[in-house]
Amino acid sequence: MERASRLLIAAGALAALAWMAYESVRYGVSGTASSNGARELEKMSKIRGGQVAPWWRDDLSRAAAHVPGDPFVRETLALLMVRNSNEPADFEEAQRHLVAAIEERPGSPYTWANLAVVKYRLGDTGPAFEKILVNASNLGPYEPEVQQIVSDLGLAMYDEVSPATRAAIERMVAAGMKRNAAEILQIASRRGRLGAACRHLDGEPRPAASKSTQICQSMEATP
Amino acid sequence: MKKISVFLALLALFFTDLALAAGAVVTSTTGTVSVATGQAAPRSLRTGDQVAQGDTIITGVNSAAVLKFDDGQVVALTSNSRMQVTNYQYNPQTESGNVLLSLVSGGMRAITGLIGRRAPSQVAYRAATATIGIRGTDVTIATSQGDVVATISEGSITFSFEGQTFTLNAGDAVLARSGQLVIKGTAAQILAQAPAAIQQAIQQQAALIAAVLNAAPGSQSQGQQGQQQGEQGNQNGQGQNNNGQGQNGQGGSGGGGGNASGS
Repeated sequence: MERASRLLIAAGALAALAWMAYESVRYGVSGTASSNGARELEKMSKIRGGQVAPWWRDDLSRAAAHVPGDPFVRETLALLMVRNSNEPADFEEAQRHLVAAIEERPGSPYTWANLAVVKYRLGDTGPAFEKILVNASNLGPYEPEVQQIVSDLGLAMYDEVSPATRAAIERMVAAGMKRNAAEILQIASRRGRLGAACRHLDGEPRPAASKSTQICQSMEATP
Repeated sequence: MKKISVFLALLALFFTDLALAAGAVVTSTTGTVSVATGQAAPRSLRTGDQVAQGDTIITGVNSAAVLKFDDGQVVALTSNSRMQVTNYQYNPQTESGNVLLSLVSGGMRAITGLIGRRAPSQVAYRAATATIGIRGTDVTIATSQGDVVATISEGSITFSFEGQTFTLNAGDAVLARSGQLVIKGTAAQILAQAPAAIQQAIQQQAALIAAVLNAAPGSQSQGQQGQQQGEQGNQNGQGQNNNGQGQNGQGGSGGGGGNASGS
Protein backbone atom coordinates (compact mmCIF):
# COMPACT_ATOMS: atom_id res chain seq x y z
CA MET A 1 0.00 0.00 0.00
CA GLU A 2 2.85 2.26 0.94
CA ARG A 3 4.62 1.39 -2.29
CA ALA A 4 1.47 2.11 -4.29
CA SER A 5 1.18 5.50 -2.64
CA ARG A 6 4.77 6.28 -3.47
CA LEU A 7 4.20 5.25 -7.05
CA LEU A 8 1.11 7.39 -7.22
CA ILE A 9 2.97 10.41 -5.88
CA ALA A 10 5.87 9.80 -8.25
CA ALA A 11 3.49 9.49 -11.18
CA GLY A 12 1.80 12.73 -10.14
CA ALA A 13 5.17 14.47 -9.80
CA LEU A 14 6.23 13.17 -13.20
CA ALA A 15 3.00 14.36 -14.75
CA ALA A 16 3.47 17.79 -13.15
CA LEU A 17 7.05 17.92 -14.40
CA ALA A 18 5.97 16.90 -17.88
CA TRP A 19 3.25 19.55 -17.84
CA MET A 20 5.72 22.19 -16.66
CA ALA A 21 8.21 21.13 -19.34
CA TYR A 22 5.49 21.36 -21.97
CA GLU A 23 4.45 24.80 -20.75
CA SER A 24 8.07 25.95 -20.68
CA VAL A 25 8.58 24.82 -24.24
CA ARG A 26 5.32 26.48 -25.27
CA TYR A 27 6.25 29.80 -23.66
CA GLY A 28 9.84 29.43 -24.83
CA VAL A 29 8.76 29.00 -28.43
CA SER A 30 6.39 31.95 -28.17
CA GLY A 31 9.03 34.08 -26.44
CA THR A 32 11.61 33.24 -29.09
CA ALA A 33 9.14 33.99 -31.85
CA SER A 34 8.21 37.36 -30.37
CA SER A 35 11.86 38.27 -29.73
CA ASN A 36 12.83 37.28 -33.27
CA GLY A 37 9.84 39.12 -34.66
CA ALA A 38 10.70 42.26 -32.68
CA ARG A 39 14.32 42.06 -33.82
CA GLU A 40 13.25 41.69 -37.43
CA LEU A 41 10.85 44.59 -37.07
CA GLU A 42 13.55 46.74 -35.56
CA LYS A 43 15.94 45.86 -38.36
CA MET A 44 13.40 46.54 -41.08
CA SER A 45 12.07 49.72 -39.49
CA LYS A 46 15.42 51.33 -40.20
CA ILE A 47 14.65 51.03 -43.91
CA ARG A 48 11.95 53.44 -44.95
CA GLY A 49 9.12 51.40 -46.34
CA GLY A 50 11.02 48.18 -45.61
CA GLN A 51 9.06 44.98 -45.60
CA VAL A 52 9.32 42.32 -42.94
CA ALA A 53 10.14 38.79 -43.98
CA PRO A 54 6.88 36.77 -44.07
CA TRP A 55 8.19 33.80 -42.08
CA TRP A 56 8.13 35.89 -38.91
CA ARG A 57 4.43 36.29 -39.38
CA ASP A 58 4.03 32.54 -39.63
CA ASP A 59 6.17 31.95 -36.52
CA LEU A 60 4.25 34.51 -34.52
CA SER A 61 0.87 33.24 -35.74
CA ARG A 62 1.82 29.76 -34.54
CA ALA A 63 3.06 31.18 -31.24
CA ALA A 64 -0.15 33.18 -30.79
CA ALA A 65 -2.16 30.02 -31.42
CA HIS A 66 -0.07 28.01 -28.93
CA VAL A 67 -0.01 30.67 -26.23
CA PRO A 68 -3.10 32.80 -26.80
CA GLY A 69 -2.60 34.60 -23.49
CA ASP A 70 0.83 36.05 -24.35
CA PRO A 71 0.33 39.78 -25.00
CA PHE A 72 3.86 40.28 -26.41
CA VAL A 73 3.30 37.74 -29.16
CA ARG A 74 -0.04 39.26 -30.08
CA GLU A 75 1.31 42.80 -30.10
CA THR A 76 4.35 41.89 -32.16
CA LEU A 77 2.14 39.98 -34.59
CA ALA A 78 -0.21 42.96 -34.87
CA LEU A 79 2.69 45.28 -35.66
CA LEU A 80 4.08 42.89 -38.19
CA MET A 81 0.75 42.54 -39.98
CA VAL A 82 0.33 46.26 -40.26
CA ARG A 83 3.92 46.80 -41.26
CA ASN A 84 3.70 44.27 -44.06
CA SER A 85 0.37 45.26 -45.48
CA ASN A 86 -1.95 48.02 -46.54
CA GLU A 87 -4.93 45.65 -46.56
CA PRO A 88 -7.85 46.54 -44.29
CA ALA A 89 -8.32 42.82 -43.49
CA ASP A 90 -4.84 42.72 -41.96
CA PHE A 91 -5.58 45.85 -39.95
CA GLU A 92 -8.77 44.22 -38.67
CA GLU A 93 -6.82 41.17 -37.57
CA ALA A 94 -4.14 43.36 -36.00
CA GLN A 95 -6.88 45.14 -34.08
CA ARG A 96 -8.18 41.81 -32.75
CA HIS A 97 -4.69 40.88 -31.53
CA LEU A 98 -4.20 44.25 -29.86
CA VAL A 99 -7.57 44.05 -28.13
CA ALA A 100 -6.63 40.56 -26.89
CA ALA A 101 -3.26 41.92 -25.70
CA ILE A 102 -5.03 44.72 -23.82
CA GLU A 103 -7.32 42.19 -22.17
CA GLU A 104 -4.21 40.40 -20.90
CA ARG A 105 -2.31 43.55 -19.95
CA PRO A 106 -4.63 46.55 -19.68
CA GLY A 107 -2.02 48.76 -18.04
CA SER A 108 0.30 49.09 -21.02
CA PRO A 109 0.10 52.57 -22.58
CA TYR A 110 2.02 51.30 -25.61
CA THR A 111 -0.65 48.75 -26.47
CA TRP A 112 -3.40 51.36 -26.12
CA ALA A 113 -1.40 53.73 -28.32
CA ASN A 114 -0.84 51.04 -30.93
CA LEU A 115 -4.53 50.19 -30.91
CA ALA A 116 -5.29 53.86 -31.53
CA VAL A 117 -2.98 53.79 -34.57
CA VAL A 118 -4.72 50.74 -36.01
CA LYS A 119 -8.19 52.14 -35.37
CA TYR A 120 -7.19 55.41 -37.04
CA ARG A 121 -5.92 53.55 -40.09
CA LEU A 122 -9.22 51.67 -40.24
CA GLY A 123 -11.09 54.97 -40.18
CA ASP A 124 -12.74 53.95 -36.91
CA THR A 125 -12.36 57.29 -35.14
CA GLY A 126 -15.54 57.45 -33.06
CA PRO A 127 -15.90 57.73 -29.28
CA ALA A 128 -14.12 54.38 -28.73
CA PHE A 129 -11.06 55.74 -30.53
CA GLU A 130 -11.08 58.85 -28.33
CA LYS A 131 -11.30 56.71 -25.22
CA ILE A 132 -8.33 54.65 -26.39
CA LEU A 133 -6.33 57.81 -27.02
CA VAL A 134 -7.18 59.13 -23.56
CA ASN A 135 -6.32 55.77 -21.94
CA ALA A 136 -2.92 55.80 -23.63
CA SER A 137 -2.22 59.33 -22.45
CA ASN A 138 -3.40 58.61 -18.90
CA LEU A 139 -1.33 55.43 -18.63
CA GLY A 140 1.84 56.76 -20.23
CA PRO A 141 2.03 60.51 -19.75
CA TYR A 142 5.83 60.44 -19.57
CA GLU A 143 6.52 57.79 -22.23
CA PRO A 144 8.02 59.56 -25.25
CA GLU A 145 6.67 57.07 -27.80
CA VAL A 146 3.18 57.34 -26.37
CA GLN A 147 3.49 61.12 -26.36
CA GLN A 148 4.41 61.01 -30.04
CA ILE A 149 1.55 58.72 -31.06
CA VAL A 150 -1.08 60.62 -29.07
CA SER A 151 0.26 63.93 -30.39
CA ASP A 152 0.26 62.64 -33.97
CA LEU A 153 -3.25 61.17 -33.97
CA GLY A 154 -4.57 63.82 -31.63
CA LEU A 155 -3.41 66.70 -33.80
CA ALA A 156 -4.87 64.94 -36.85
CA MET A 157 -8.24 64.71 -35.09
CA TYR A 158 -7.98 67.92 -33.08
CA ASP A 159 -11.05 69.64 -34.50
CA GLU A 160 -13.19 66.52 -34.35
CA VAL A 161 -12.71 65.29 -30.78
CA SER A 162 -14.52 66.17 -27.54
CA PRO A 163 -13.13 68.88 -25.23
CA ALA A 164 -12.00 66.21 -22.74
CA THR A 165 -10.02 64.36 -25.43
CA ARG A 166 -8.60 67.64 -26.69
CA ALA A 167 -7.39 68.43 -23.17
CA ALA A 168 -5.64 65.04 -23.02
CA ILE A 169 -4.03 65.71 -26.41
CA GLU A 170 -2.86 69.14 -25.22
CA ARG A 171 -1.30 67.57 -22.13
CA MET A 172 0.60 65.04 -24.24
CA VAL A 173 1.78 67.67 -26.73
CA ALA A 174 2.97 69.83 -23.81
CA ALA A 175 4.72 66.87 -22.17
CA GLY A 176 6.26 65.88 -25.50
CA MET A 177 7.52 69.40 -26.09
CA LYS A 178 9.31 69.26 -22.76
CA ARG A 179 10.78 65.84 -23.45
CA ASN A 180 11.59 65.98 -27.15
CA ALA A 181 10.54 69.22 -28.77
CA ALA A 182 12.13 68.47 -32.17
CA GLU A 183 10.14 65.28 -32.60
CA ILE A 184 6.84 66.87 -31.57
CA LEU A 185 7.47 69.90 -33.79
CA GLN A 186 8.07 67.58 -36.73
CA ILE A 187 4.79 65.76 -36.03
CA ALA A 188 2.89 69.04 -35.58
CA SER A 189 4.37 70.41 -38.79
CA ARG A 190 3.32 67.31 -40.74
CA ARG A 191 -0.18 67.65 -39.31
CA GLY A 192 -0.25 71.34 -40.28
CA ARG A 193 -0.60 72.33 -36.61
CA LEU A 194 2.74 73.80 -35.68
CA GLY A 195 0.98 76.39 -33.54
CA ALA A 196 -0.43 73.71 -31.25
CA ALA A 197 3.10 72.61 -30.41
CA CYS A 198 4.81 76.00 -30.47
CA ARG A 199 2.56 77.46 -27.82
CA HIS A 200 4.11 75.01 -25.37
CA LEU A 201 7.57 76.47 -25.95
CA ASP A 202 6.50 79.54 -23.98
CA GLY A 203 8.17 79.91 -20.64
CA GLU A 204 10.65 77.16 -21.38
CA PRO A 205 14.21 78.00 -20.41
CA ARG A 206 15.51 77.49 -23.93
CA PRO A 207 18.28 79.38 -25.63
CA ALA A 208 16.87 81.90 -28.08
CA ALA A 209 18.83 80.34 -30.91
CA SER A 210 17.58 76.78 -30.35
CA LYS A 211 16.24 75.01 -33.41
CA SER A 212 12.79 74.61 -31.86
CA THR A 213 12.59 78.32 -31.14
CA GLN A 214 13.68 79.12 -34.67
CA ILE A 215 11.02 76.82 -36.14
CA CYS A 216 8.32 78.45 -34.04
CA GLN A 217 9.56 81.94 -34.79
CA SER A 218 9.55 81.20 -38.52
CA MET A 219 5.97 80.00 -38.18
CA GLU A 220 4.98 83.26 -36.49
CA ALA A 221 6.68 85.17 -39.28
CA THR A 222 4.68 83.30 -41.91
CA PRO A 223 1.62 85.33 -42.88
CA MET B 1 10.33 44.43 -15.91
CA LYS B 2 12.68 47.00 -17.37
CA LYS B 3 13.37 44.67 -20.29
CA ILE B 4 9.65 44.40 -20.95
CA SER B 5 9.30 48.19 -20.94
CA VAL B 6 12.14 48.59 -23.42
CA PHE B 7 10.56 45.94 -25.62
CA LEU B 8 7.18 47.67 -25.51
CA ALA B 9 8.75 51.02 -26.25
CA LEU B 10 10.40 49.50 -29.30
CA LEU B 11 7.04 48.18 -30.44
CA ALA B 12 5.50 51.63 -30.14
CA LEU B 13 8.42 53.10 -32.02
CA PHE B 14 7.77 50.74 -34.89
CA PHE B 15 4.29 52.13 -35.18
CA THR B 16 5.39 55.73 -35.22
CA ASP B 17 7.84 54.75 -37.93
CA LEU B 18 5.02 52.98 -39.73
CA ALA B 19 3.13 56.23 -39.98
CA LEU B 20 5.95 57.48 -42.18
CA ALA B 21 6.53 54.41 -44.33
CA ALA B 22 6.77 54.37 -48.16
CA GLY B 23 4.26 56.31 -50.19
CA ALA B 24 3.06 59.87 -49.89
CA VAL B 25 2.14 62.23 -47.12
CA VAL B 26 -0.89 64.49 -47.43
CA THR B 27 0.47 68.02 -47.09
CA SER B 28 -2.81 69.85 -47.40
CA THR B 29 -6.52 69.13 -47.56
CA THR B 30 -9.58 71.28 -48.11
CA GLY B 31 -13.17 70.15 -47.70
CA THR B 32 -13.97 66.45 -47.76
CA VAL B 33 -11.11 64.19 -48.70
CA SER B 34 -11.13 60.44 -48.18
CA VAL B 35 -9.07 57.41 -49.05
CA ALA B 36 -10.18 53.91 -49.93
CA THR B 37 -7.94 50.87 -49.75
CA GLY B 38 -9.06 48.01 -51.96
CA GLN B 39 -12.74 47.32 -51.57
CA ALA B 40 -12.95 48.79 -48.07
CA ALA B 41 -15.20 51.75 -47.35
CA PRO B 42 -13.46 55.13 -47.73
CA ARG B 43 -12.12 56.72 -44.58
CA SER B 44 -11.32 60.37 -43.91
CA LEU B 45 -7.94 61.58 -45.07
CA ARG B 46 -6.34 64.35 -43.04
CA THR B 47 -3.26 66.52 -43.38
CA GLY B 48 -0.23 64.50 -42.36
CA ASP B 49 -1.79 61.12 -43.17
CA GLN B 50 0.08 58.62 -45.26
CA VAL B 51 -1.07 57.24 -48.58
CA ALA B 52 0.36 54.03 -50.00
CA GLN B 53 0.23 51.93 -53.12
CA GLY B 54 -3.28 50.62 -53.72
CA ASP B 55 -5.01 53.59 -52.10
CA THR B 56 -7.57 55.66 -54.00
CA ILE B 57 -7.85 59.29 -52.97
CA ILE B 58 -11.28 60.83 -53.37
CA THR B 59 -12.07 64.53 -53.15
CA GLY B 60 -15.61 65.82 -52.67
CA VAL B 61 -17.36 68.99 -53.80
CA ASN B 62 -15.27 72.14 -53.20
CA SER B 63 -12.45 69.99 -51.90
CA ALA B 64 -8.81 69.52 -52.75
CA ALA B 65 -5.77 67.59 -51.62
CA VAL B 66 -2.03 67.91 -52.15
CA LEU B 67 0.23 64.88 -51.70
CA LYS B 68 3.98 64.75 -51.48
CA PHE B 69 5.58 61.42 -52.33
CA ASP B 70 8.80 60.12 -50.81
CA ASP B 71 10.79 61.01 -53.93
CA GLY B 72 9.54 64.60 -53.81
CA GLN B 73 6.85 64.22 -56.43
CA VAL B 74 3.89 66.49 -55.71
CA VAL B 75 0.34 65.73 -56.84
CA ALA B 76 -2.55 68.15 -56.39
CA LEU B 77 -6.12 66.93 -56.81
CA THR B 78 -9.05 69.24 -57.45
CA SER B 79 -12.66 68.71 -56.38
CA ASN B 80 -14.69 65.66 -57.40
CA SER B 81 -11.55 63.72 -58.28
CA ARG B 82 -10.58 60.10 -57.82
CA MET B 83 -6.97 59.07 -58.19
CA GLN B 84 -5.48 55.69 -57.47
CA VAL B 85 -1.88 55.15 -56.49
CA THR B 86 -1.72 52.11 -58.74
CA ASN B 87 1.98 51.59 -58.24
CA TYR B 88 4.50 53.41 -56.11
CA GLN B 89 7.89 51.93 -55.28
CA TYR B 90 10.78 54.04 -54.12
CA ASN B 91 14.20 53.14 -52.80
CA PRO B 92 15.75 56.21 -51.16
CA GLN B 93 19.20 54.63 -51.11
CA THR B 94 19.35 54.32 -54.88
CA GLU B 95 16.84 57.11 -55.49
CA SER B 96 15.05 54.83 -57.90
CA GLY B 97 11.61 53.35 -58.21
CA ASN B 98 8.50 53.51 -60.33
CA VAL B 99 5.25 55.41 -60.30
CA LEU B 100 1.87 54.77 -61.88
CA LEU B 101 -0.97 57.07 -60.89
CA SER B 102 -4.43 56.55 -62.35
CA LEU B 103 -6.81 59.48 -62.53
CA VAL B 104 -10.28 57.98 -62.64
CA SER B 105 -12.11 61.31 -62.70
CA GLY B 106 -11.53 64.99 -61.99
CA GLY B 107 -8.25 66.84 -62.26
CA MET B 108 -4.69 66.51 -61.05
CA ARG B 109 -1.45 68.37 -61.38
CA ALA B 110 1.75 66.40 -61.01
CA ILE B 111 5.24 67.77 -60.53
CA THR B 112 7.66 64.92 -60.82
CA GLY B 113 10.24 64.10 -58.18
CA LEU B 114 13.54 62.25 -58.09
CA ILE B 115 12.22 59.15 -59.85
CA GLY B 116 10.95 61.25 -62.73
CA ARG B 117 14.17 63.23 -62.99
CA ARG B 118 16.46 60.21 -62.87
CA ALA B 119 14.39 57.70 -64.82
CA PRO B 120 11.45 59.36 -66.57
CA SER B 121 10.42 56.10 -68.18
CA GLN B 122 9.57 54.80 -64.71
CA VAL B 123 6.83 57.39 -64.22
CA ALA B 124 3.44 57.18 -65.91
CA TYR B 125 -0.01 58.58 -65.40
CA ARG B 126 -3.26 57.14 -66.63
CA ALA B 127 -6.47 59.03 -67.27
CA ALA B 128 -9.43 57.15 -68.74
CA THR B 129 -7.86 55.23 -71.64
CA ALA B 130 -4.93 57.63 -72.05
CA THR B 131 -1.44 56.88 -70.76
CA ILE B 132 0.99 59.70 -70.15
CA GLY B 133 4.73 59.17 -69.90
CA ILE B 134 6.87 62.00 -68.60
CA ARG B 135 10.23 63.65 -69.15
CA GLY B 136 10.93 65.94 -66.21
CA THR B 137 7.50 67.39 -66.07
CA ASP B 138 4.94 69.62 -64.46
CA VAL B 139 1.72 68.38 -66.02
CA THR B 140 -1.96 68.95 -65.34
CA ILE B 141 -4.40 66.22 -66.31
CA ALA B 142 -8.18 66.18 -66.16
CA THR B 143 -10.66 63.54 -67.16
CA SER B 144 -14.41 63.30 -67.31
CA GLN B 145 -16.57 60.60 -68.89
CA GLY B 146 -13.69 59.19 -70.90
CA ASP B 147 -12.48 62.56 -72.25
CA VAL B 148 -8.95 63.58 -71.27
CA VAL B 149 -7.06 66.88 -71.32
CA ALA B 150 -3.36 67.23 -70.48
CA THR B 151 -1.52 70.55 -70.31
CA ILE B 152 2.24 70.75 -69.88
CA SER B 153 3.87 73.55 -67.88
CA GLU B 154 7.41 72.20 -67.94
CA GLY B 155 9.31 69.36 -69.60
CA SER B 156 7.54 67.10 -72.05
CA ILE B 157 5.27 64.10 -72.10
CA THR B 158 4.33 61.25 -74.37
CA PHE B 159 0.58 60.96 -74.62
CA SER B 160 -0.86 57.64 -75.73
CA PHE B 161 -4.53 57.31 -76.54
CA GLU B 162 -6.36 54.60 -78.44
CA GLY B 163 -3.24 53.38 -80.18
CA GLN B 164 -1.83 56.80 -81.05
CA THR B 165 1.20 58.35 -79.32
CA PHE B 166 2.16 62.02 -79.31
CA THR B 167 5.04 63.96 -77.84
CA LEU B 168 4.03 67.23 -76.23
CA ASN B 169 6.30 69.95 -74.87
CA ALA B 170 5.96 72.78 -72.36
CA GLY B 171 3.11 75.08 -73.38
CA ASP B 172 1.34 72.33 -75.32
CA ALA B 173 -1.94 70.77 -74.42
CA VAL B 174 -4.01 67.93 -75.78
CA LEU B 175 -7.67 66.94 -75.80
CA ALA B 176 -8.56 63.30 -76.38
CA ARG B 177 -12.10 62.08 -76.83
CA SER B 178 -13.03 58.49 -77.36
CA GLY B 179 -13.55 57.63 -81.02
CA GLN B 180 -12.48 61.09 -82.19
CA LEU B 181 -9.26 62.64 -83.45
CA VAL B 182 -6.94 63.87 -80.74
CA ILE B 183 -6.64 67.66 -80.70
CA LYS B 184 -3.32 69.33 -79.95
CA GLY B 185 -2.78 73.04 -79.28
CA THR B 186 -1.91 75.57 -76.64
CA ALA B 187 -3.42 75.28 -73.19
CA ALA B 188 -5.83 78.14 -73.92
CA GLN B 189 -6.93 76.62 -77.22
CA ILE B 190 -7.52 73.19 -75.77
CA LEU B 191 -9.30 74.42 -72.67
CA ALA B 192 -11.71 76.39 -74.84
CA GLN B 193 -12.78 73.14 -76.48
CA ALA B 194 -12.77 70.92 -73.42
CA PRO B 195 -15.97 69.78 -71.69
CA ALA B 196 -17.07 72.03 -68.85
CA ALA B 197 -16.16 69.51 -66.13
CA ILE B 198 -12.60 69.31 -67.43
CA GLN B 199 -12.31 73.09 -67.72
CA GLN B 200 -13.45 73.41 -64.14
CA ALA B 201 -10.98 70.80 -62.91
CA ILE B 202 -8.06 72.55 -64.61
CA GLN B 203 -9.10 76.02 -63.46
CA GLN B 204 -9.31 74.78 -59.87
CA GLN B 205 -5.61 73.95 -59.98
CA ALA B 206 -4.91 77.69 -59.86
CA ALA B 207 -6.38 77.82 -56.36
CA LEU B 208 -3.98 75.12 -55.23
CA ILE B 209 -0.79 76.92 -56.17
CA ALA B 210 0.06 78.02 -52.62
CA ALA B 211 -0.37 74.46 -51.31
CA VAL B 212 1.66 73.03 -54.20
CA LEU B 213 4.46 75.53 -53.64
CA ASN B 214 4.46 74.68 -49.98
CA ALA B 215 4.88 70.99 -50.82
CA ALA B 216 7.35 71.56 -53.67
CA PRO B 217 9.26 74.71 -52.71
CA GLY B 218 11.52 74.53 -55.76
CA SER B 219 8.68 74.83 -58.22
CA GLN B 220 8.00 78.54 -57.92
CA SER B 221 8.25 79.24 -61.61
CA GLN B 222 6.13 76.23 -62.30
CA GLY B 223 3.60 77.51 -59.87
CA GLN B 224 3.49 80.85 -61.61
CA GLN B 225 3.11 79.11 -64.95
CA GLY B 226 0.32 77.07 -63.50
CA GLN B 227 -1.37 80.20 -62.23
CA GLN B 228 -1.11 81.84 -65.63
CA GLN B 229 -2.43 78.70 -67.18
CA GLY B 230 -5.29 78.67 -64.72
CA GLU B 231 -6.08 82.30 -65.43
CA GLN B 232 -6.01 81.64 -69.17
CA GLY B 233 -8.25 78.70 -68.65
CA ASN B 234 -10.57 80.85 -66.61
CA GLN B 235 -10.87 83.38 -69.39
CA ASN B 236 -11.43 80.70 -71.94
CA GLY B 237 -13.87 78.96 -69.74
CA GLN B 238 -15.89 82.15 -69.48
CA GLY B 239 -15.71 82.57 -73.22
CA GLN B 240 -17.01 79.13 -73.76
CA ASN B 241 -19.86 79.67 -71.41
CA ASN B 242 -20.84 82.69 -73.44
CA ASN B 243 -20.64 81.28 -76.89
CA GLY B 244 -20.88 77.57 -76.32
CA GLN B 245 -17.88 76.86 -78.50
CA GLY B 246 -15.85 73.82 -77.76
CA GLN B 247 -18.56 71.54 -76.56
CA ASN B 248 -18.92 70.15 -80.02
CA GLY B 249 -15.69 71.59 -81.29
CA GLN B 250 -13.31 69.29 -83.04
CA GLY B 251 -10.26 69.90 -85.08
CA GLY B 252 -9.54 73.33 -83.72
CA SER B 253 -12.84 75.12 -83.68
CA GLY B 254 -12.98 78.09 -81.35
CA GLY B 255 -9.51 77.84 -79.84
CA GLY B 256 -7.68 77.31 -83.10
CA GLY B 257 -6.04 74.08 -82.05
CA GLY B 258 -4.92 71.72 -84.76
CA ASN B 259 -5.32 68.00 -85.01
CA ALA B 260 -2.29 66.20 -83.74
CA SER B 261 -0.68 63.51 -85.76
CA GLY B 262 0.24 60.22 -84.25
CA SER B 263 3.78 59.07 -84.15
